[in-house]
Amino acid sequence: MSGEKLLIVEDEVHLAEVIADNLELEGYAVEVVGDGREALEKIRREPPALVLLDVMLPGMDGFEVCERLRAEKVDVPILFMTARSDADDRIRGLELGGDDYLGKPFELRELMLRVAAILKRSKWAQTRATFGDTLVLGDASVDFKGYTAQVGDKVYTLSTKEILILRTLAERPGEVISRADILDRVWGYEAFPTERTIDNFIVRLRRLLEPDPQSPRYIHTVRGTGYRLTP
Amino acid sequence: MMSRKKAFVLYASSAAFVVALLAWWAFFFGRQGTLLANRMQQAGTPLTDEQIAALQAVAAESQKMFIAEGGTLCVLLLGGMWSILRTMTRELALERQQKNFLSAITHELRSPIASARLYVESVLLGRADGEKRDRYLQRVMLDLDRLRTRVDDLLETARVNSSKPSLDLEPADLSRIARDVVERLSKEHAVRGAKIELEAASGVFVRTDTRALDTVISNLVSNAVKYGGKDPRVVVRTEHTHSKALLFVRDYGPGLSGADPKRIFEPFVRGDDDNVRAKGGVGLGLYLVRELVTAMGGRVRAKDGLEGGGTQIEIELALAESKA
Repeated sequence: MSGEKLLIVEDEVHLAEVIADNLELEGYAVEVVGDGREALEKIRREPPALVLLDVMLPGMDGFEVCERLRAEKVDVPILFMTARSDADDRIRGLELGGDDYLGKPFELRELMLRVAAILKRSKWAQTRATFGDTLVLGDASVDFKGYTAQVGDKVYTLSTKEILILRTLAERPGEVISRADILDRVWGYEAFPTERTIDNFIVRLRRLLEPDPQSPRYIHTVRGTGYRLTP
Repeated sequence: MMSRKKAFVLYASSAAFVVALLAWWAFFFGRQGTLLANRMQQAGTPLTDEQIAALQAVAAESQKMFIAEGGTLCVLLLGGMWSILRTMTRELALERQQKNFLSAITHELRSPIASARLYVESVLLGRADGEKRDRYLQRVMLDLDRLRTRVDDLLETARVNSSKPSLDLEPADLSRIARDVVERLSKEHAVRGAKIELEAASGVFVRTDTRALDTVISNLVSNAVKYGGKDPRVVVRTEHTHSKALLFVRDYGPGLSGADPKRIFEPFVRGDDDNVRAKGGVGLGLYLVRELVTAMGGRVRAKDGLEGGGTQIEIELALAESKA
């Protein structure tokens, strides 16, 4: 089907085998490693389209692998798969920069759907935005390729999530975009526990881009629904 | 809920306050005689030197008594603090062990379930047929076997924990039991490239429970295979002195990696070393060994840093009258 390269990082040989077999059946090119450190090296050398990452691994645990990759600005999508699926672990995984989380045991079909959804989102994030590479909001100018915002003479670096939230809003200027839509686009379904998270991102974006963050001119809150961007 | 740390800080500050108060009182009592004499003189009732000395002597006496009683109280308070601190440290260690255990047991039980479930689902969805389906079903069998071993370990531990294991002790041939285990586990572990050797002395009779001793030796051999490195070699040896029977299970793996040889017999203790974590298991095998051997009246210990590498577990049991 797609031939995209996926990396499974899992030390349970049986589990890795059945997941790999099934993903290969879907047309993906799959590689398996069973050790955290080895996975880190491999991802640094040639980042795959998606990493399916176990948490309890020899060498280095999955959380640390993810944390290190994000610290090095390696933006490869990560789907955590783990037996430790209580809320604290799930939140930790997502806060460290994971894209989604599956608690073991999980269903094959669910795994397939989530893999496809993450890849779709990641492809969208890599394509050029419908409005081009730059968004101008008064004195502020956002560069979607360079992940930066220039306000006056100052240049700020934006995170992937901030860029994607702005892009979701900017692709439909003047329209109200619900929090659920933003979650779906930027995080993926069910991934993040609360829609409040988006509000925190919006607060930071306003601080950077709005002349007066208290009474925003560009990024408006629509009470009870979501947000609207008026360039 | 008040955290233990907060409770300890509250206790320690109260104790410090009481100690400071006692010190102040002791100082105050000491000065009482002089103060009283001065006041009486100021009020126009001059005292003779003898009277002043008598007053000071009474005050000094009170001070001594006070220091003795206050000192005892201080010792008691400090003892209390030490005891609380010790209990807290123990509880924290236990909590950490239990958390490790919970995390390990979750991983150990859920992983084979997750794996078996995906194999079965693949078959049911028609994603595996013919040879592939057979291979998948075999994987499910292995996952279920692994699950059964884990559950058995847990149940056995619960049984040993809930009461002293009641063993049926009677004379049995240690070497014969060891031979049975070695034969059985050699087949089981052949797939991992394991080589299990037996060096048995003849006629080593011990008073034991055959089933429990089988569990002990099986656990030790499986453990040695697990931590014995690639293509593990395990040597099981029996011998006896004039009064004792000895069983040694030796592997040639990387050893205990600095772990305390005594602590490895505690429940839920597993090395922090990555290689240990990677092996799976929940840290109950050696605990079971210790409990069962103790119930047989024997002793168990681990030796590390041996020539040729690896770890050796030694079991010492009392010799029984020979049946031969």
